[in-house]
Amino acid sequence: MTDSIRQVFANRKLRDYATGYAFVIPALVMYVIFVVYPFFYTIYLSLTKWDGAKPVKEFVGFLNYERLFADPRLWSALSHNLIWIVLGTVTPVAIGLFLGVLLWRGLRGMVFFRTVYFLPVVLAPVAVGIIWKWMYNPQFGPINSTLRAVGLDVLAKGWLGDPYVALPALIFAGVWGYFGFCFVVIMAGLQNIDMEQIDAALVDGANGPQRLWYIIIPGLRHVLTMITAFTLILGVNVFDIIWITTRGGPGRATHVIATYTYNTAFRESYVGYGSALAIVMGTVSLVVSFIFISIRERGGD
Amino acid sequence: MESHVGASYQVARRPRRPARYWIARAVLYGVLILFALYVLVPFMWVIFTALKSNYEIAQDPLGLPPNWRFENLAQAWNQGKFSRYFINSVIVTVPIVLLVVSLSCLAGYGLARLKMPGRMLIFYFFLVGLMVPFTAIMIPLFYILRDIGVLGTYWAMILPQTAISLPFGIFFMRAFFSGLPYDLTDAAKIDGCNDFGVFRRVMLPLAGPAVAALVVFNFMGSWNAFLLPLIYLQSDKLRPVMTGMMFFTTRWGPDYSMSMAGTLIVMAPIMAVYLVFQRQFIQGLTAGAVRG
Amino acid sequence: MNHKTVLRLLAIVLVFALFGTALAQDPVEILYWDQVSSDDAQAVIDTIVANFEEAHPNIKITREVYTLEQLTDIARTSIEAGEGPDILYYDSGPAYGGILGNAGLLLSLEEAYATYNWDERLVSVSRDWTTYGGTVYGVGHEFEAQGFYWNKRIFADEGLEVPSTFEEMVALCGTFRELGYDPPMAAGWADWGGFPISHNWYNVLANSVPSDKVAAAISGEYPFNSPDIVASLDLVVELVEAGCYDEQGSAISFLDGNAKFYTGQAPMMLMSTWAMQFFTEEITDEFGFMILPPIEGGEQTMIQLMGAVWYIIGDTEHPEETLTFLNYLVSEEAHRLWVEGAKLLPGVTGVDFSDYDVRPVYRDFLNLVSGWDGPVGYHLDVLTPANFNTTLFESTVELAAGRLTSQEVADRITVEMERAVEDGRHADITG
Repeated sequence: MTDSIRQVFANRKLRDYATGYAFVIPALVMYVIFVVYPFFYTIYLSLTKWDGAKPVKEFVGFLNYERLFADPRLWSALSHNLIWIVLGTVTPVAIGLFLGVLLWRGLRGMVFFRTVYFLPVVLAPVAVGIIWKWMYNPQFGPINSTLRAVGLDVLAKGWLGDPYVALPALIFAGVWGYFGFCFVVIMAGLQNIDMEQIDAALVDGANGPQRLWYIIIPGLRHVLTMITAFTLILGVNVFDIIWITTRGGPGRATHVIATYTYNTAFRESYVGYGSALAIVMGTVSLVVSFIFISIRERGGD
Repeated sequence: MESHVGASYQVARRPRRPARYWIARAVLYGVLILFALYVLVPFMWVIFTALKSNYEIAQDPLGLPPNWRFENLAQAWNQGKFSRYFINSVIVTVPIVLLVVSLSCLAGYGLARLKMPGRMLIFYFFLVGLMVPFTAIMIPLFYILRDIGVLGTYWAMILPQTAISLPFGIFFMRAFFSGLPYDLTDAAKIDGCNDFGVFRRVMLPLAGPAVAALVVFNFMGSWNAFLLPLIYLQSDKLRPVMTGMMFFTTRWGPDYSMSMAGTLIVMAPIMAVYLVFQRQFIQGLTAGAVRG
Repeated sequence: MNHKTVLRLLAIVLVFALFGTALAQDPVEILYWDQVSSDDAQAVIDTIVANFEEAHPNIKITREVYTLEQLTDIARTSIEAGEGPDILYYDSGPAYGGILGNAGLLLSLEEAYATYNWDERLVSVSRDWTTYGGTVYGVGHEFEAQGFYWNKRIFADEGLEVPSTFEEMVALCGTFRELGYDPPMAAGWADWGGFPISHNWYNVLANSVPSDKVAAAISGEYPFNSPDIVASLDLVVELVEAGCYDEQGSAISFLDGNAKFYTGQAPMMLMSTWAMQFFTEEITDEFGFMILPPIEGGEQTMIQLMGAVWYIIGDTEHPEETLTFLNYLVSEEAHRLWVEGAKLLPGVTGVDFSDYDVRPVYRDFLNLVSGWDGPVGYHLDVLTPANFNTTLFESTVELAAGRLTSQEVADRITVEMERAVEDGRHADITG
């Protein structure tokens, strides 16, 4: 026994390998126990019917998956995710780009604006949700109160209580908490753009939009794909801000896949079906990431 | 005439800007200020609401508090048991950050610089973890944590939060260590350092900024985590600030001044820290997007 | 000092130490997860706990207060984690306590019912509605009825009569709107989802569809999308279209919505007797309470329900002390406090209320309940399974918003009921 260990250490190559693994193994163990194993466990649970408490998990094959396809709540939740992803990505990136280009060449007060814009980014999504729940409060909330104060009573509404408005209203709150992030990242990206190119374009008589389209955006390609990736993942996973404000309501108007999964598995105790939903969510996330990575690889430098 | 004016001003030290310039400036600042207001006005109303009584809110929801009721904050602090929640948040966040950073540095360095069979395979294995959302593992994790007997302790949050943070940490630190020049390590090796020595004496000291970014990133991630403690840290004794705030504000639903006072209590420290360590915050939180 | 002396001294110290710890023993701590809605009820439970602790110095009650939504978030998982309370005040039915009882997380109270003679002292529904899988797990507390409130001052000022039919009630909504009052019926499902509007529907359902059919539907033996049930949903749409609800009602919090009634902004309200705890001393208007006016073609029916219920957690370390506390909560001593202070009607039998100091509106309720010999209807969500409730609450909100038709709502909840039956999660109340 000790001999063989000594042999291993006598062999320089093996000793190097052992050192390498020693660096990696602690992280690997944590990762396998608390991420990889649970993932496969979710797959297993998704093939069972279980209330989370009975000693027996009844194996039902793909029954839960068959139910998924006929479940209108799943499809409405996924469509809300899609809306969140599209609006929640395009808006903050557009605002960030707009402000970034405005502030690009430096300006007095630049630090102030950056500090302010980034301020909500440090807040937890839960705090953002609570703040905006108050902003949208129909009776005393600042938004309706302001509208009434300036005589626009007709526009005052129960923002989060109106199924047609609730989701966009929440996305607006999300953008408030997030556009500063896009702004700062885009600013960092702009620093790497070749000024000479811009000057050359100016000489050639390129107007603003042309410069933006042909030089700035291609120059920001890398940064923009990174932000899009971040925002996409956030859009697939969004939970906190919804749970703290509407819990998926009114009706199903703001349910997304994460709130639906949580509700099913933990509040209604449909653990098997909830796991199947979790697998849907994992799959969506994997597919989105994969598409994103392949886009990045193709356009990568 | 125009050319004459122009010529005479060219001599002067500061050329006078045309009116168009000033209009453009004004529009520019107007836009910037508009967005600043978009950010700041909600904060202003949180503060105003927190410092009014509910009667005053109903009378005038928009205006300045007629009496600045700072005692609301004290009341919310006590009723909301925030001292306990803050302590709990610190107790779970500190070990998470320490664990994530140290494990990520080790593994990131190992995967970047050390020879071992299957190195890339292990790296990709970790990378897949970046794409697995917490929701996809949250259900069985509950039962795993229960069966290993950590539910009901702080470990129920520390262990899974550390694990789900590792893929990014490793990805980030590996990218950093890969970028360091090789001659540094070679020199140290000639001086008789072993691999761990090289890591500790040469590489780690260089990793300061990257480690700082990772610290901020993970501090924010675990401080702000909500769903994870909602499921795994349910006892009021263990509850961190974020779920504590949820239980407080929704419990006092129609008591707007209390619920905003609670929100202010939770927001204020993190915003203060941000204003002081602004650069580190911005670097840490955008690290993934800027460098990755 | 020799060896022996040292040993003796040690022994004496040890004996004293043991006695000392026995005497100074910390009181048994019982964790109580409570739901309290009003300040008055809060004051009452504080008093009851203080009285109990005084009578039982070895027991200390630690209360943590949650809302129903919050308890649904954490009850099952925390108890499974061994982090739950000892005693829990939670709603009855398969969607709430039933999930816990069926999962084996609650303490069977069969023995306690015998020991404390609860079957005689408590109303029979206390046992009936907290029995899951054949075992009784709960003690019913808040006995409620659903009905119609009106502000007597406003009705008198405007020279209006209390409606004697459902149609008259609907017409009153329009009348009051024209007179400039806020929308008359309870609004506010911002924090309670589809609760208020669904509860109004149960009331309409009970008054337009015979109870045996409703019972069959709850038991999964009669489809919820049958024409008569769809027709009852149409009546809810009628209420909405007549302007009985605030257009922004769905965004106002439940309590804010109800407060419109307490403060005289709204002249009438459809709500359970639970709301009486908010009629504080400062409110000078007098209110009336009656059950829903009869609907044409139906028999006037009273919906009775057991609101929240006490459960004891299966793995409590102090079952005896917790039971002692529970029995105190339903004692005669506590009873008067519940009624006079919290305006709740505990599900206790054989109490003479005549000398109780209560508001006339509460007296209306007491008289109604004790004198009622008509049919009794069902309050659905404390009898229906969780997936059914979720879909029901979601769908009725969309019904009110005009996003779904009655038929679509009925179809949706029928699917959920079929699924619950398939999974054995429904309550069979037809026997």
